[in-house]
Amino acid sequence: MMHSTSAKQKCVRAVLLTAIAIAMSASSRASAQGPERILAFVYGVTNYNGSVYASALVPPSVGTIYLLANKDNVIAPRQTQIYFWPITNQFLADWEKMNELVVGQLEVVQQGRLINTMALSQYVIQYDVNDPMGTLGLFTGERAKAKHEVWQKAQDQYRASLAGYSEMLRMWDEQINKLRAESSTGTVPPEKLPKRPEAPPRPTLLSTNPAQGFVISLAAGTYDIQVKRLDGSIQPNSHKRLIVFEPEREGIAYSAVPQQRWTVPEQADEPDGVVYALPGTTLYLQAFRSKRFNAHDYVHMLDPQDQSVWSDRGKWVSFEPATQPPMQVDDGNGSVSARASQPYFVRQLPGGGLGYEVVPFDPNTMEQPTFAGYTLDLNADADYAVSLTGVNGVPIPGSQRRVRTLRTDRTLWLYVVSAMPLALGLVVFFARRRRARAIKIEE
Amino acid sequence: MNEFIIQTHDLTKAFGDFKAVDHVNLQVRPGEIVGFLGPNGAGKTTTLLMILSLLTPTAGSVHLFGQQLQDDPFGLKRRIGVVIEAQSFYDEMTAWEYLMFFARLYGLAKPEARAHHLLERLNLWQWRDVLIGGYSTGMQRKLALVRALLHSPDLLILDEPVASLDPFGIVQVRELLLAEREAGRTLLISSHILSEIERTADRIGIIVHGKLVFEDTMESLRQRVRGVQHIEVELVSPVNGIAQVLTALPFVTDVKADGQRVTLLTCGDDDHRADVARALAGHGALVQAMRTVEPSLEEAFITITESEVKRWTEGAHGR
Amino acid sequence: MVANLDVRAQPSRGHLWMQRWQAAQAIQSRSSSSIANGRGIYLVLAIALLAAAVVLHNMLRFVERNAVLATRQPLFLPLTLMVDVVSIYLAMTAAIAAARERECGTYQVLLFGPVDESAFIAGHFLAQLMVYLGVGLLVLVWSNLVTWLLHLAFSVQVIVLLAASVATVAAVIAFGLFIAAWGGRTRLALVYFTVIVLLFVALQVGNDLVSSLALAHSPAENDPIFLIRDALVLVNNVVQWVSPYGQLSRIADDLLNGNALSILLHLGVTLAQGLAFFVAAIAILKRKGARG
Repeated sequence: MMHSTSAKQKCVRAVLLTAIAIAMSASSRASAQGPERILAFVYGVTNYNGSVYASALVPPSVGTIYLLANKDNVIAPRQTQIYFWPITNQFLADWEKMNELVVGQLEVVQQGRLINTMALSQYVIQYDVNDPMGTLGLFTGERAKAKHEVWQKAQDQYRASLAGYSEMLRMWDEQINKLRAESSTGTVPPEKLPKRPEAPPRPTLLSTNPAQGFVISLAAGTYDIQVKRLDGSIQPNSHKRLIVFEPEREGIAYSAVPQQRWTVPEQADEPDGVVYALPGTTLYLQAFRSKRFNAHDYVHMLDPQDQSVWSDRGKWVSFEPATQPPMQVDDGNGSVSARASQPYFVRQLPGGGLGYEVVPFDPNTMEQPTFAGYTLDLNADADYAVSLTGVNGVPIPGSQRRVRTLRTDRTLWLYVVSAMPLALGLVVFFARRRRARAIKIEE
Repeated sequence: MNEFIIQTHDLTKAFGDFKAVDHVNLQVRPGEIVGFLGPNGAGKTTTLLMILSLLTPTAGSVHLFGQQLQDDPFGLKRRIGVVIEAQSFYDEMTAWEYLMFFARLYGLAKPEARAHHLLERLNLWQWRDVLIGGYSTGMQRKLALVRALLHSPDLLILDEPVASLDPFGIVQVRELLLAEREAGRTLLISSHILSEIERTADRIGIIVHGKLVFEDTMESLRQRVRGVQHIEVELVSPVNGIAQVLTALPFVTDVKADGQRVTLLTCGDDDHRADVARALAGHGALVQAMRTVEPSLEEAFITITESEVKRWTEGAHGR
Repeated sequence: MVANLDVRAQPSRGHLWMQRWQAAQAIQSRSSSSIANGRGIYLVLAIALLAAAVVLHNMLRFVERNAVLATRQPLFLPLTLMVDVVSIYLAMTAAIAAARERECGTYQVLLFGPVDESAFIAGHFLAQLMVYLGVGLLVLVWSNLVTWLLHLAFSVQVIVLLAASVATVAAVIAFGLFIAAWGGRTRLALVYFTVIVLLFVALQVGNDLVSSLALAHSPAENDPIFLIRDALVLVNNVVQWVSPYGQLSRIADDLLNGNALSILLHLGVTLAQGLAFFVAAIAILKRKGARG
């Protein structure tokens, strides 16, 4: 949890404004009719956020689009019906009612100079579930077609295999029934059981259907875009500012998982952040390679209709786990140890009571690890300095963190100490009374 | 040494069409006590504030110690001590703290002894550690005087320095001011307690309707109003109708008979005591004592201001 | 007897500004003592620290519930809260003290002596600032105690933030003195002060409200409500720059981001704000005089 004055204020304001927006919307719209649809030109953006592709809607009320630099992103010009959804305070598109591609060219202008005119391209996005980040790709044109065909073929093969498997399963079932019928006891000894057919493996390649859009990859900077229709006119509402940004720096982010509440990890993204935990906690630190972006730009890339303004803030975004480098742990008393990232499994405790335990992963008895991380056992006054070490034992930049235990049993003293100005005031008051007499002298 | 400590030249202050101070030429010499008098609303306070540069004159100039205040405001102000009529203090301070604050303000090196001396003289020493908010009005006025005297100023400007004081306090303050004059200080005192002014002032200035109508010594003032002789008669026993008998005398301007005491105002052209005695004897009144009384400052003041008011009023109607 | 006890005021020495400085120091000393001997500052500081303690307590509760918390500067939010509370109090007391001196006449008494408008304002300004420096020391002690009690990690950035807050508080105090000079009367000064603070808050809330309404109103690009929204955003951004608290918030962010140049820039802006109010207060007093 990151504390900041403006974040708290923004939270209160957001709740207040949402309530007002809801009230205003409720007064102007009959709930039985649903929100009013309005025909509008929008951009459907498929943006690369550093690890995956995500989609975002850019309605007419949004003037600026944000995209990552030097990465393939897609801007699709569409005509659709939009409506305002007060609960999320955003415009949504009713794609089912209308989803028309606006055919034309995208003009990209920088500092008044036309630098690119782009035609619509066919594209697909694919990745393998076994290695999403490593295999993610956006393919255009003929390559998109070819890639999609490969995926389609795999899907067809799987369906065919599935059909074969169903047939074999039926036959196996019949065999079992026959053997059972032939047995005097009504059961079939295990050694006589035929082997159950194996289901065909599911295809691991995922793909989008081919779609059309403007595939953009630009260097960091500020641009203006608009759509020029086939008749040469500019599509109304198509002019937008385009801000292309890149990461400010790279580092290591940690997800801190306590033994007793593994479902609620805490993010420690900033290098000067400190991880606090209760004394006696066993803490698991999961490390991720991460990048820091301008928070305003990144948030508006993911959600162009976001209303927060964090122009001075940064936002760390984690991408892939960093499990290879060892972690160096300095306990502050001169003892430095190294530990490796280990896989762990979360096992539900048997019985009626709720509970679980985190145990080391055993490949022989467990299907797959729940997570991998570095372990820290925190004693009462733990104050550890941790970092991931790279080649030759040099700490990886941005991987340093402090891990400390927090004394939550001294709340009363916290308030006592905070009230000390009152004690000081009393001392001053009595000292003053000794020095100065407050009496009334009559004439 | 400058000829004048305070010198104003055609000092004027106008508020719209109303002239609160009208071409006042006031001169205060070193080492003298000047009483500055006038009826309520005459312009005394306005004049004093202009002398102290707290009000900007509409016209005219003010010189203090031969300089204009703007030439060396901080330096000149260090040579002046001021007590104004409306008292203002920091109620949360003790008298001693208050004085030490002003001592620091004026850059006094070792003010403790002088502060002790002044407080002792005005019977405030035993109350020095009491918060000023608890002081009576008279004590506050004395404290203001101590504050004004603390830095041994060359010029003292005092507005009602003895108001709200008991008779003992008035005597203390009078003696202190006279001692200051002996030490070479110059004092400009504005007060409605004319008896005190009469006792202490070397010269008097009287301002009426913004104009300085008189500025000279006490003796000159008495001479100016000596056109009236004041006779007091003490009879052995009251006599009926004696007031009418005396009023009929040609040289008598006013008679007051109160039992055995009869007071007459006569023209100051001659000594009319013998004529009065003859008139009394003719009416069967036996005189026990008879004396002439010098016109007091109060009488002089009233005479002058009344005549000035009359002249001003006639002038205003004539316009 | 009087002659033996004749102590003279020091003759004028040095530049006029040096003399003003000496007068300001005397006024500062008196005014600071008055505040320190009063009850208000201790009460307000206790309230500020208790509010900060509540923020920390929430943090402790979070850790008790979730067993872990990652944070960069747990003391930043409590400290900025403390700065907000104490600075508003000091600005109000500066406004009241200066306005009351004029109202009661003690200002006039000061003007009889080697004091002018600049020294008067500077004296009151320094008085409140000295009190805040004392408060800052106490808060530093509190921070150290709390850090030790709760086993928090103490960082130099806390000291830097506290040091930077002096500029913020100085600007707010100068604002209070400006209000005192402008308002003249104590009650009027208080009214002006409250209205302006509420206006700042209303601007921020109004900005967010119109932004939200703009989205709900119409999708057309040239709808006038967008103009109103953009105008309010602009006004709000200007206000954020004008507000010393906005600057302190940026300084806190810059500290977290390690942006030293930006810290200096925002410190400079804050000091410039304070200087502007300071000079304006003196100019207004000069125009109004002792009794206006």
